[in-house]
Amino acid sequence: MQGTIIENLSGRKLSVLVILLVIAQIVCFLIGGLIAPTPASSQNILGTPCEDIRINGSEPGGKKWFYSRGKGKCIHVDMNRFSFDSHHQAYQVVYTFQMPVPRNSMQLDYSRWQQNLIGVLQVDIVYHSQIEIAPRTKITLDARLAYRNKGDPDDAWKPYAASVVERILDCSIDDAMEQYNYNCSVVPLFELGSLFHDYYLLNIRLPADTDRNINQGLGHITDLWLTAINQNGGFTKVWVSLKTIYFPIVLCVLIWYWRRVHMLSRSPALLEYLLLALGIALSFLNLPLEYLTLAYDMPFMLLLGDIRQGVFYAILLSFWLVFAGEHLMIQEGEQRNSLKCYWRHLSAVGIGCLSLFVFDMCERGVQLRNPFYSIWVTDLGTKFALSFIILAGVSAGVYLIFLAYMIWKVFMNISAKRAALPSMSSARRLHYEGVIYRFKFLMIATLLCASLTVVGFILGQVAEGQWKWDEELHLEMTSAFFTGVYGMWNIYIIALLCLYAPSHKQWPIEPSENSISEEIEFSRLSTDPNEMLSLTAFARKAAVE
Amino acid sequence: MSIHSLYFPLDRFRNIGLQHFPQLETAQMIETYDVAASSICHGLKGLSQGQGKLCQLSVDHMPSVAKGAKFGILECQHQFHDRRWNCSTISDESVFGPMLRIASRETAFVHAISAAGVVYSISRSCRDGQLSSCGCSRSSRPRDLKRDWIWGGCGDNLEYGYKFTQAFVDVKERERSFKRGSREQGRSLMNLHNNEAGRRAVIKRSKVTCKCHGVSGSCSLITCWQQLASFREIGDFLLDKYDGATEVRVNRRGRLSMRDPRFSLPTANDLVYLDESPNYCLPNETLGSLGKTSLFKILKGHSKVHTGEFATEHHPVWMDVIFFVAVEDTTRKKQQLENDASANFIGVATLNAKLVLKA
Repeated sequence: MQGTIIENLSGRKLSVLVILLVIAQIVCFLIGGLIAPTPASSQNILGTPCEDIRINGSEPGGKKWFYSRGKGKCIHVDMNRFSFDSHHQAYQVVYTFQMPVPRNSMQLDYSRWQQNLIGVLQVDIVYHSQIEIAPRTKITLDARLAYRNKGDPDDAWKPYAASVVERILDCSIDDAMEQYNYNCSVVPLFELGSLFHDYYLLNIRLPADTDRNINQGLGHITDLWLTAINQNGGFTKVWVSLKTIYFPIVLCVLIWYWRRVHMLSRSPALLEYLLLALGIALSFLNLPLEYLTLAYDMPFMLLLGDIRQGVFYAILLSFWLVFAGEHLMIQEGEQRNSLKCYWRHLSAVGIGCLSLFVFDMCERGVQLRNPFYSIWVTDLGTKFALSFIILAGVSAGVYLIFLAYMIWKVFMNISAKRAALPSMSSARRLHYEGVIYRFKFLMIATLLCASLTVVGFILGQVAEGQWKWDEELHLEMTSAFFTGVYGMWNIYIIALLCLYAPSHKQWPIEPSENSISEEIEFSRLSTDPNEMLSLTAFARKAAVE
Repeated sequence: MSIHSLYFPLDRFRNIGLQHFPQLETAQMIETYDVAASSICHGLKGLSQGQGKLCQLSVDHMPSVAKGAKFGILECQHQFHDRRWNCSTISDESVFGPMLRIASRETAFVHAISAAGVVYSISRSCRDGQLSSCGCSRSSRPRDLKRDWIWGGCGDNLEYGYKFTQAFVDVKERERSFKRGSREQGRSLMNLHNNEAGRRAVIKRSKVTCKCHGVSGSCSLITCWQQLASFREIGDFLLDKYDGATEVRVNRRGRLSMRDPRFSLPTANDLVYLDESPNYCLPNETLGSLGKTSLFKILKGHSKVHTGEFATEHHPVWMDVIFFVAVEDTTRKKQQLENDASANFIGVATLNAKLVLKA
């Protein structure tokens, strides 16, 4: 008989393998928890109001940049005096944000290891009983981003992106007292997919126009704060190291697996194809493309990362469906073993992933052209984005129902077949019991992985929610979650590839079928003796018995 | 009324917030210890020995400390503008005059609001980027800052502000050692407690704001940071703590203990005091409080009310009319303000006097 490795592996070998994988999993978790820093860090930057130098109110050229530090820095504006004297001359003030902020008397600069930069704006509006502002107020920002590199003169800012953007300020105040600040929601301002340059500079103007009702009713803005969030270099290094280790391992296992499948006399089964696809998707995810960002400007990395993860999860979800479907143990003849009979189930995965992809392209895709763009600012865009996310959510729900139904059916079938077990010969019974046990074992492993991911995610969220400033956490929970989950899916797929590869033990016997009496039944029942995994073969056979 | 006119070294760094020191304007440019730093720090009157050393180590922080002290004083005056003691300042190094010698609620408040002001101001300056020497909070002196920063980023500026203020303001109390269980030690412990309460008030009132930036912008990855509240909110918060301050005493083991065990134990966020506040209506030359008789002396020019009657019988009325008077009698108050710091008592006194006359 020719089967998969999992069926021919002795209990001891299996447990050794499982223990090894569990150890690898724990190592992955600890690497994230002990070595890696938090995945991202932020710098909170207070905007420096600068005096805009204009002649007769005409725009200065695009090359004029205002910065608060270094040679040729701008003239500061005392906003307290300014706001009372000439409130209407809003164009005279430029808020400047120079990133990163120096520390320990040292001009820091961004490293390419820090991967990406996300800018979030906060507006401090002070409450005055005379000028109360509406809960949802539109704010128009004339935002310009420039960059500079080490060695450039202090004033050599080169334009990176510029846009006049509208955002909705959602402001409320709990106890309306004079001099209190409104609670305004944060305004996502920009997202840079690559942190290629050393220094960045953001200039923000708040253009005011009474005729066109631009920035009217904003009240008394005291401060603008920018929070610049970047991925931590240390996290990138640990992450890329993990990828560098896993990529060749998974690739080797994949090649080994596919060689085994090819050595069979039959054409590969659907499940084997899907495992191959899963391995390829994982290798695509593992491919340490991040090394290239150290040398080249690759602003599409955020989008590519999303796509890579999306492709992997889409194939993983499809694999589970087919895995459950192939073990349904119902004789359906020719229709089995092709993706066609799963079209209903798979379309749920397809629609979900596709809608997320469209959403991602609309958000991060457009951000490649304009980093200040956000789909969420306009009402139409919000509806558009929400509809895609809801669609994805509905697909996920439908998928889960399908999957739960199929797994339920598989288990029902197994227990039904189990009732027939006592009537079999003892050798075969032991074998079948072992097969059922291992099948359940893998199902449980899958469920465990999936639930661990969910639990880890929720725990991570809770840990972040109770964010405390003074607590010295020795274990970085978020990083541990990321590396742990990443390692887990890698190990899971390596295990699948190993355990579901065609077994090599009975290899020489395989061509001479019908040699053992037990085999006759198999070859008689299945139309093609080598076509199926023996697990499915067992199921079909048992159905007849 | 008991007044402890024992000498307590006053925490006078607030002085640099009140008075104008031109040398502070250049201080931000100075980065390391040098002669200029030394001369600036010597020129700043009101710093203790330890604070002087810290000043020389981080002279560029001093304008922010001064600004913070000023925030504290202004907020104190705002919070107390309609109370008997109105946080009035006098123009010498002690800022608040001898009043702070009493370990009263008011002293507790002044300590707390000053510490809060410095935390607030330092944190703001760090985020501004103008104060370039703010440390990375993870360790005070990182070996290789640039490497550390790329590896795991810097901590929050608020934390740095907290730590710097802790070092700068508290060093004063830690400079001298006191006999265990002595009054001086109690006073020192009280100041430390109230400084801490002030620093914590800034953190307590700040808001944690988060941004999701995981896959497709989902919340699988989330970053949070502290957002400072307006200083008025911090002042109001501390005024609440002032109203609910706990009276404590120092026990033989040199720890603070509750004077009245029926009340709940004060936390690190609460204010504590050792002595009851003096009656600010009564004159007291050692405290610099004009009291009612002194008020009356001034009033004598305007009205003719008998001193004795006024001081005893109408005391309850006093409390009730304070606010209205301050509004009603602004013109006279302004005149007085020019020559006396405790001007709004006069306003109060005049209306009381009127009431008395009517009665």
